[in-house]
Amino acid sequence: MQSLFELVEAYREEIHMEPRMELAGKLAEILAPELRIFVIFRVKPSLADDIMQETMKDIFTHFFKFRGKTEKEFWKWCYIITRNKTADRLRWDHKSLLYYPEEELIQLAESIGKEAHTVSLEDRDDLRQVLKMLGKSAPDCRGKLWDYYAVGLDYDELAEVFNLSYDAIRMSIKRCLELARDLYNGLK
Amino acid sequence: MNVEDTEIERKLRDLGSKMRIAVRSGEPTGLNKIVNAAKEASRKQYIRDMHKRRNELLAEGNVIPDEIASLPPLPDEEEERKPKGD
Repeated sequence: MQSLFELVEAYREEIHMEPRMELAGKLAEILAPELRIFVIFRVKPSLADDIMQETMKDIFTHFFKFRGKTEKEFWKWCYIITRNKTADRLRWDHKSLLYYPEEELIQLAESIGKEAHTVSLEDRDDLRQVLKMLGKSAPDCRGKLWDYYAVGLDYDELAEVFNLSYDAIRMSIKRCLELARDLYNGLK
Repeated sequence: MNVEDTEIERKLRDLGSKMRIAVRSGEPTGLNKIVNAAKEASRKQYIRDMHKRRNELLAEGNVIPDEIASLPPLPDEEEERKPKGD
């Protein structure tokens, strides 16, 4: 199976329409689930697929503007487009903004099955409460911690996606984590 | 998992990894629509690029290769810009 960046390079080199479309489909199958996790935390669940379709249109309309040489650079580029498409939607439809309810997030995580993947009852309550408190006291922190720990973006990627310096985002995550820890310890 | 993780970090990471599995394994209809949107955008951009290439070759007085001699019409740019729901 080709890696993501092998597909990116194959797409760049392909000069015929049908095979290029097939490669677009393969790339979208890899990109969509990851980018969707970034989106579903920020908008009403019903809008996530709509935004994802718009994101894919932008990625494949502007594909040849991507000049990067690594998979990491490609992910960053895709996350920036995803962030912009999400922000566009929120600008003309403020009602779309609804942080994904904690309970549904956790239920979604549990929907994968009852085996080793199930979130324990204790973890579930802790996470729900911490995310809820963060949502009230520091919604920005809720998003950043989500992007760092759940979406899995590193400081470098977050800095580029949110147009901040590496140190600014590192310190921001550190402060948010301290706040989350305080909230979490307050539960104990 | 990072060995230096505190308990809350571990829980956040754990939830994230489970979410990723859930999103990957769920809603195939939604994923199909997203994949089709990608393919369609790729097709339209290909046609735009080939029209551009053909016009450049024509302007330079070059021979037009068979593969771009007859292209589908350009995708309607106005339709492309129209926001959904209008």
